[in-house]
Amino acid sequence: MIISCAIIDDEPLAAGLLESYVKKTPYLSHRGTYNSAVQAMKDLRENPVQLLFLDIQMPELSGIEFAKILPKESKIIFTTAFSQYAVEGYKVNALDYLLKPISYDDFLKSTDKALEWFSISMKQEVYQRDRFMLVKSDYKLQRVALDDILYIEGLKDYVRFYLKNGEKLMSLMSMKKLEEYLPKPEFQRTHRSYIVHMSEVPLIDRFRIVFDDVYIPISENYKEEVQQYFDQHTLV
Amino acid sequence: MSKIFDINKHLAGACHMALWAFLFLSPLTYWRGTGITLVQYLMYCVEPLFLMIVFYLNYMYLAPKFFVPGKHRYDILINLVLVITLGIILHYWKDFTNVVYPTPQRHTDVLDDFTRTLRDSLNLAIFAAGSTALALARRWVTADQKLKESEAARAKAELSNLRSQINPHFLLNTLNNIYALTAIDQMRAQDAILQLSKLLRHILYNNQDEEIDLQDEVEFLENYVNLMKIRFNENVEVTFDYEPPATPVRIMPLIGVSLIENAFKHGISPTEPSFIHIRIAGEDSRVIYDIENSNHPKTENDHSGHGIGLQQVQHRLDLSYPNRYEWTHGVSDDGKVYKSTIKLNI
Repeated sequence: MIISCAIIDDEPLAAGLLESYVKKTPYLSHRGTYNSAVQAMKDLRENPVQLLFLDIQMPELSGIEFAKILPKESKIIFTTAFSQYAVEGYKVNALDYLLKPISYDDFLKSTDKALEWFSISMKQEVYQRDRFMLVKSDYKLQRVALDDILYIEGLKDYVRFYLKNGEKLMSLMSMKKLEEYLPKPEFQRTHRSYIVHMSEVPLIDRFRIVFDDVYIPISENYKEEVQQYFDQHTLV
Repeated sequence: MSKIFDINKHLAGACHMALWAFLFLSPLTYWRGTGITLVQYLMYCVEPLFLMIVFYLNYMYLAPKFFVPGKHRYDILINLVLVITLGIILHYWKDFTNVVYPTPQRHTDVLDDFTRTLRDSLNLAIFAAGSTALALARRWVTADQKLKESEAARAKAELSNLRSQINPHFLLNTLNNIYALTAIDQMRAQDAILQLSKLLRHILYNNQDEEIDLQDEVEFLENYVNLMKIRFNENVEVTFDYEPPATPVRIMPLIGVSLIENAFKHGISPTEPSFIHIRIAGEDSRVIYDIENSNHPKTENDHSGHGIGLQQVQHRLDLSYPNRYEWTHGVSDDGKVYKSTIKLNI
């Protein structure tokens, strides 16, 4: 996955340093460097980038103000010499912020965060749109339609899919990743070891989900979300 | 300051001595020739002695301890008890002396007893009030003295503080830029570190002096300007001219830097061409700072400056060159150029 990015900083050296970092990071593609937000405005609104390194203190238009008029699909990493601005930065939905002077290590930590965020959101989008995923099982890739899933059980490093036709499917992956990829609230974690396809739940007995002869527990951590889903669908 | 205070102290001591000498010795003048004995005189002395007790008890102990906000009523109560008790004792003492040395005009009806006791108590009360007032006056003088001393100390601290003012943001921003330079252009990075080191040396050491050589100050300003320059691109044109005086001139440090700081803050636009022209000229008895920059007013939302810089310059000039400087500053008629000129008479 390649992330397109741009840099805005009124100090040419600071911008230059970031540019050199972007260029030596394989998963980032450099789309432009600007010395002022005003300069960047037209370009970035017509051709939005995915990731923007944005200085906060700039004359004319500050980074915070600029962030507010930026298209939603652009994610921001703020750069600033003064940590008191960071709090303000988080208010406008920034992915992260970098405190100057910025080392390549700090930079990579931030962009790794961005990479993870983008890969998760990409998977989410794809699964939501196409309603199926390819699951690695026994050295094969098997198509699993989201609508066929009843629930998923976590077993240490593995997960096991329970499908409508009674089939079970084992795959090597973490519950945490899977939970992030699957669309919400259609798929809801109910317990450390269970993700349930909520619209397929046939019976709820004393706040336990029942699939035929299997009782799925609801733990304290997820109780509220599960309750809310059921409440929304309960006929009063 | 403290010497005057000492003289006051001695004067106060003399006044106390005179008062008590008068009270103790005055009877001797009108008893002269009546054949009074030493014992009779000593017996009389009990009266001024009681006055003395009341006076100094109030002056040293009661007034400082109880005549303070919230405790006045204790002060009055203690004094009332004290004065009445001593008044009664004094009355019986006088009766006693009258028995030993009878004087013809003395009456002994109850009303007389009462009025005499009242009179003695009143005397004691007057002394109590007087000594409290005196103690208060002394307290006030001391407080006033302390206030003046602390004000003088604060003014001195302020001046030395003003001298060492350099914007910490400048240091941080410069270090950040040098960090970037090390990755991009090592030769320039080396130069910048050298300039920063010289600049810090100037601020840390020369700066503590009241006055320094103009030459040193100009070198410092040049380093400052060079360090500021690395933060901007080719859009910004910065010139620095120095006309040295024929003979060395000494001036107060760090006046020019506030003006230059200001020029960089308001004179530079990231998108439009900008300039800053700095000229410093030394004459035999005058130093002229002349700074001109393109005027790019900041937007309303920019709160990075608060106008403190120029206020500081004014304050510094007033403190160090009272009535010996001329400062003009303002925007040109077309609004494009800001010009600031300081002429110092050395």
